[in-house]
Amino acid sequence: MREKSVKCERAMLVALLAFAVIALFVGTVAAVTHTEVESVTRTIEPDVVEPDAEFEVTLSITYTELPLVVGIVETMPEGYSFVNCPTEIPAGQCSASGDKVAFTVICKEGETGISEITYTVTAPSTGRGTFEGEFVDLLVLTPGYIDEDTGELHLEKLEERLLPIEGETMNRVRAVGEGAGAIEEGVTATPTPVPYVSTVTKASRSIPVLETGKEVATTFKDMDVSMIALKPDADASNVEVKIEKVERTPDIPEPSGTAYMYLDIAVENAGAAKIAGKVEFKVANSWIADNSIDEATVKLNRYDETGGNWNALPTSKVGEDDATVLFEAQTPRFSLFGVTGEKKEEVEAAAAAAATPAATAAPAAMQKPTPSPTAPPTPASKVPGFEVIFAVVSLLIVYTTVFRKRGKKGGNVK
Amino acid sequence: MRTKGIISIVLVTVLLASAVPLAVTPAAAYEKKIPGDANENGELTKDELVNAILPYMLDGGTLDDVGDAAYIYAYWDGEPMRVTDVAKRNVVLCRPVERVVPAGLLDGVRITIQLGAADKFVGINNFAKRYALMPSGYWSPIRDAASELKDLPDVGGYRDPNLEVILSLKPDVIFEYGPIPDFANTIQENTGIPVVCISNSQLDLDVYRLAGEVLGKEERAEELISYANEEIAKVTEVTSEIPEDEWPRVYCISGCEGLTMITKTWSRYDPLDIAGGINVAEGLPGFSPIVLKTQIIDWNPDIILIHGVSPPHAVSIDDVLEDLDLQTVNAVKNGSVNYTKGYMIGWDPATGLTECFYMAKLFHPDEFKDLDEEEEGNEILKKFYGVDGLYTKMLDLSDRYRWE
Repeated sequence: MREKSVKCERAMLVALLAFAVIALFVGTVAAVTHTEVESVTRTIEPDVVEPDAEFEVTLSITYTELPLVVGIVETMPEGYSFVNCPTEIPAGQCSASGDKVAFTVICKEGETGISEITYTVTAPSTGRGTFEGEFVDLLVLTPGYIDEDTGELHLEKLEERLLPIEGETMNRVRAVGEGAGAIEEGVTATPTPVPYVSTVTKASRSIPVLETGKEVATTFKDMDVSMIALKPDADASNVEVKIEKVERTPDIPEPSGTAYMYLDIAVENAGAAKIAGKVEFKVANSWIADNSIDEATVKLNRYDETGGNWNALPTSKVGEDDATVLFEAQTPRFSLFGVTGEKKEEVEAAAAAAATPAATAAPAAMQKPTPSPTAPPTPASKVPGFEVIFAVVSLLIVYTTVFRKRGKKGGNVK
Repeated sequence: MRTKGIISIVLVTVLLASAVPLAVTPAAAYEKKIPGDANENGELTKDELVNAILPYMLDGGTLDDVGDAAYIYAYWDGEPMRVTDVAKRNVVLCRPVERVVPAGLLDGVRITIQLGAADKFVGINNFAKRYALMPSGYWSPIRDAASELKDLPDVGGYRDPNLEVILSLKPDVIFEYGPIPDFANTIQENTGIPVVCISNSQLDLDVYRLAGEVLGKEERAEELISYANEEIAKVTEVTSEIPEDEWPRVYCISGCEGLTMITKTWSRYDPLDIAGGINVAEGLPGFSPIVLKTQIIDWNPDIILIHGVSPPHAVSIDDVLEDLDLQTVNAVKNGSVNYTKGYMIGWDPATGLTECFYMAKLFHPDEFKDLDEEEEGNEILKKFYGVDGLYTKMLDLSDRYRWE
């Protein structure tokens, strides 16, 4: 009981502290910016859809009090199409143009507040997409600034007023062969690989606001990297993401496996925040086919400058199209990355080796030394087996000759 | 009467003549229509607002018009704001006030700071800059509460504003000093920008409502008015119980309008009345009338208060005590001559409130013996200016009487 009471007191103390911190924060924000709309958060339901299916995207608006006038714009991913305006607002308060759809939510004081709008989207037959959006609280007053060149008055710099919509960004169409059910029926075999060449090798993005623990994604077109998501452990603003396809320099060792490409991804101006995140990247079908790469072994590897070694990151296939296979990997930091895969025969050989007794000679493929910057390559003759058996047998001999003489309690030998 | 009439005509002529330099080419900086009001009928409907927002969200552009339209729809019911200022002028505002130029003296500056809207200032008049913001030996709460204002562009004086500078700052409203409405009209006509006359008339606190409405700070305005009334009640609850024949007769020496003279006084001084004193000059015509010394002798005040607390003093306590003509006056015989804060380029209701407590303790020492007027003064000024210790700082920099 007492333990429970102490736990309860601790919980209350933590809650009170949290409330005090939040109250202080909210008070400060209100005093400085008069912002009523705290955030707009997206929910995509479901995040994996059948080909050509309709699904719903919900935007939740968090605000403290009415009145509310907020403008929202969503950018549909390529191949996705907007279907229906939200029913929560009059149809006239929604307008689509190209890949964009704009909404405005207007509630005067005394009216019923609207805190959620849901619109409908149709998915493409294959692939995946990232939703992006921004909102602006139109009731925030600021003195603004005067452009020194033109003398024109601007309320704020646009990038400071338009805030990113948070929450879920990804949707994908159920991949060919994925899961059980009718989706597999009638599906043709793996499509014939078509040549894929990325046209952009360098890009950068500016992210105005990163909030602690909240993931913000940014997409890239015509690049080997299609999306990067950032998740900071502290608030940061005006963070720059720079991505460049690079060549490995001689001072950096080769990663394990067959290398496909190297990417230098830098996150700048994050201050003290440590930024983890996700990288979504494309691998050309042609490379996989030409090099007999086992798709399941494709990995994103992060180069650890401190240790001078490569670390394979958790990587999974998330989609494909006629020319590429799309993978997503989680990374604790951003730095130099290498995409690698293993040849099918290597994988098969490794699997065979694992199932073979140690005394059996290792296949030739397994004898290839694994490069490591910290330790010299292990010679093929050092394959463990005999030494281990010898050590175990020796120990057994020592045990039977010494310990058994001492008896169970290990008394003195006289 | 005839002389007064001639003087009035001459003054008006001089005033208007001095306003001639104000005539500059009207600028189209301020459109007299609500942004987003597509049919220009003076009322912004929800459909018109939606038709302004959606194209902006899809195609980008500037937020100025869209944001202003949203604000007017949400807070002004889609119509322009119409206010009657302290000079009884009707002023129409077609945009929410985000940028303010205080052209007239200090009252507009003080009230805007006290309402928590100092961040809306985009320029500052040179009186405020010179006398209330730049470093000096005398006390100014503005210097502590909003020192950043000293770096704003100088928009000229309250009688000679620099309209070119004002226009370049693109204010949504200009504040002018209440007693000179002709200047306000001239500025408005020549710039197209709405000019609202703001000035304090002692403890008439309605001006906070006017400024609060213009600045979108209505809640803060009501908060300050309620607070001020509660503070006044703290004093009147005590003084109202004291028989009027026990109230001291008080004569104030005025330093208003540039010259301090023993014979210049205040015909009205609210803190004095609230504190339980009888203003011997009450009811005299004019704001700061001049009287004869014989009149002061006839009034025979118990207490004399001299306007201004910071040295050097144009009229000091010693000047009064040593004035040979006044030796028969009770206040002089008893040495009851003190300084009081009074006006400072306009009037500050916040310091006026503190004077209520100061005078109450001075007039009725027994009834207010437990009052810590320094602590009370600090509390009042913190409420209005948001800064600790302002009253103590004032006392440190002044010659005013201070209780131990």
